[in-house]
Amino acid sequence: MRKMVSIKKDGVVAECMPEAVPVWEADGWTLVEDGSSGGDESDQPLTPTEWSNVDQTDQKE
Amino acid sequence: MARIIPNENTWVGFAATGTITNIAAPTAAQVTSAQNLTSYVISLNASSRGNTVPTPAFDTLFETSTTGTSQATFDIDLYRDDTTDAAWTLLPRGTHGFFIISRFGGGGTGNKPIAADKVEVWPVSVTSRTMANMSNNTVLTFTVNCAVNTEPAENATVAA
Repeated sequence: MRKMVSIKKDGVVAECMPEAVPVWEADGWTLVEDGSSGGDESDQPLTPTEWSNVDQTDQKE
Repeated sequence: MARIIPNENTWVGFAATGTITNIAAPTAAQVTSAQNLTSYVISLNASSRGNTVPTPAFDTLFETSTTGTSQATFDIDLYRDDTTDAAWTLLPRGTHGFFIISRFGGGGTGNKPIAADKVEVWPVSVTSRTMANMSNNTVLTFTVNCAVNTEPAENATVAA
């Protein structure tokens, strides 16, 4: 499940999909950058170094 | 009293999840915070239906029934726009939020609902956003299918 990000306007905090942020920003909303929403580190793609460190035991079995 | 068509009457907006706290009585400010999608809407199907459960018995020839569960569906057809593609951008798959529909239009600018106006509030999650078949001499449109997460408010009144 993709995570929504937090946006804020006039003290109201709401959530939208990341690609929808420009539409809301055009209407006066601002992206909440505190990292409380919008995905955590586990949602980020792995770097090549991280990939090489992945334990692939399960795939070999 | 008059019989009207939606053109230049109906107002349709989409509010982000978290903005509406009481779907039976959204505030005027919450309605204002919604994105106005009226100019993108071609058609929408916001409908609910109920199930009846048969309860026949041997002691009568009349086939009785009782009320069962009910459910709702929400589908909407919208235009793409090569300059301001707000509707398409706003509603990717997985989006949660509220569609606000003022079928007769509200008292605000551009028929936006204001306090005391009647609206429908549909809590939805977008399950698919798909382009219509592309063909010659046809405007580009798309369809959004939604799950209705909780019971919709089909006769809500906008609060001050």
